[in-house]
Order: sequence, then structure tokens, then C-alpha cells
Amino acid sequence: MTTMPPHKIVFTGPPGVGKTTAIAMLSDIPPVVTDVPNTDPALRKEHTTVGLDFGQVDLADGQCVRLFGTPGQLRFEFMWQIIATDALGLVILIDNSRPDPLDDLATCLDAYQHLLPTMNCAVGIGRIPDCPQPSVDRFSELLAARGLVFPVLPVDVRRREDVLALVDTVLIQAEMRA
Amino acid sequence: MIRLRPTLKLHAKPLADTDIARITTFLRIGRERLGHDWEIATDGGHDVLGHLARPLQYEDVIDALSDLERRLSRQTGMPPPGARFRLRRWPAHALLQVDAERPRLASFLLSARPVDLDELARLGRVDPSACESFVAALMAAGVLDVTENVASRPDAAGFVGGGALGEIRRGLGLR
Repeated sequence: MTTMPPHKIVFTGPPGVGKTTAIAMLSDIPPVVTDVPNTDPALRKEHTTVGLDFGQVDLADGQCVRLFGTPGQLRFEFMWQIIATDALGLVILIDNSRPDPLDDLATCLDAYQHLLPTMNCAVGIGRIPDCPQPSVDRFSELLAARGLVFPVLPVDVRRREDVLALVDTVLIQAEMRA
Repeated sequence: MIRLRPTLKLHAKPLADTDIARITTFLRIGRERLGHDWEIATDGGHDVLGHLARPLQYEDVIDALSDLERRLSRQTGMPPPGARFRLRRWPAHALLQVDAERPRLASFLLSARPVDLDELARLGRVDPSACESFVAALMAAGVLDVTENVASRPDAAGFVGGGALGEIRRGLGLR
């Protein structure tokens, strides 16, 4: 009997955007995290992920969806593509309170450029209420300038429905390719 | 020779059953069909929208009405009937936040395979009128590629929500 490889959805983005939190919102198991005390004062957080985060959604048919979070820091960029290869979808999370969120998105697009043309992808912009600029539309424009069209939605990763809305758009893209 | 030009009065709005019955009766015009050229005009005959040569043929009437529908759709910004749509870029946030369903509908329009209004309504499980107004807004915003007169293709609504991806939806609590 052959078993289908488990589907995986990858959450990526710079440090502190809430990838671990987003995974925890969806996972049926307590997320496996590889956080260590942060020694980079620029990150403004006590812990940061140095390996990857992992969560899982159990399905009725005995299969599961694996949720992976990439380490945010740029020095771990070599892992990003490895984790995202063969993913069902990629959710890019951006924190609008960081110094240059548009550049953060550009960095992600550069890192995944070889996967994006065939990837089901969505972009979530966090902390919009506190930091409304750049606007959500500026991120869409950045994608369009690169010939990419992906959903771009505001997100509060502490709200399960917000994270689900992003994943929903990713699944729709997958379904429409089927 | 005096050529009579009777006018078919048409109103560019959905017709109730009774109106359809009236038009059906009106088109039973017997031998008048043979004797005159016809014009399709606005109420009062101010604007002539189309001509129909004698003898009046059923197919010509239908073709003229379909053409008129497409032209009026373009004038009013409404989606042309039978057209298929595909997003060329993600819509402005202000357009999407009007309705919680709109980001989902927009995602269906990302497909490499353009979808028509009916299919979009079935895929999104929303009222067709909601799809129509959303697509009209996307057209006005200039973010939509519109393809007219395309051959029908298999409807994606039949397989969306099924199979392994359907299991994932159910596992996540998504519809």
C-alpha cells in the first residue's frame, strides 16, 4: 500500500512577525519550537527561532498537514528554500512595524524566486492598525512589479480566523490548479 | 415607396416572467415579420440601437439582443455575459474589505484558467449578484483581464472542496 506524502504549508518571513504564533493557531499539537534566547538587540524579542517551528493538523482520513515555520534571520536563508520545496503553499508574513517592511517582502521574494512561479502563496501584513504605512496596497504593487499576483491581506496572527483566511486563499490556488 | 420601421421596445433590465410573456406575444407578429425592416430603439425611439432586415428571423433577433446586451454591459461597466475573468494584479484593499467573501472570490480569479460569473458564484458559494458587483468593481479598477466568446470548459466548481484538499479544508474547519 502506498501512502501519500504529507502535505506541508510553510510560514516564512523576517524575525518577530509571528510565524510561531500563526502555527500555534492552527496546530492540533503543541508546536515544536527551536527558540533560543535572542542575542540580537535589533530583534526586540527575548527568544528567536534558530531551527524551524513545526505544527500539525490531523485529518479525518488519517493523513495530516504539516506546518513549518522557517527561522527568520537572514543568516538562515539557506534553509528557507529547502523547507519550502514541495510545499502545498507558502504564507509570507510581514511585520509592518519593522523599519522597512517592503524590503522584508523583497528579501523573501528574492529568496523564493525560483519556487514562486509555481507556488501557491499568500502574503499577510501584520500590525497594520498600529503601523498603517506602507499600505497593504504597496505590497501588492511590489508583487506586481515582479510579475507576481498573490493575495495580500492584513493579518493578526493571534487571531485564528485571520491565519485561516490566508491559508484559505492558498488552498483555493491549489484547488484551481488541480 | 414608404418603408415602415416598427420599433422593438426593449428595456435593459431583468425581465419578470410577465414581461417575458409580453415580449413573446409581441414577437408573434405574423406576416408583419415579412413586410418591414425593424429597428431596436430606446424607449421613445430616441436612440436606434440596432437594425433587423426583413424578413425578421428569430436567430437575428437573438443575435441582436445578445450583441446589445454586450454593448450595454460595456457602457454600464457591468461584466459582459459569457465572459471569463482573471486577475492581472491583486485588487486594492479598499475593494476587498467591502465584503469578507471578496478575498476568497479574488483568489479564484488568480487561476491561470479564467472563470465566468456563474462559475465564480458556485466556487465561492455566494450569490451571483455579489459576484457580478465585485467583478464590475474589479473591471472599473482595471485589475481584471476579460476574455469574451471563449469556448466553455469544465467547471472547476465540481472538484474544488473534494479530494485531499477537501480533507485539509475540513481538518482546518474551512468550508
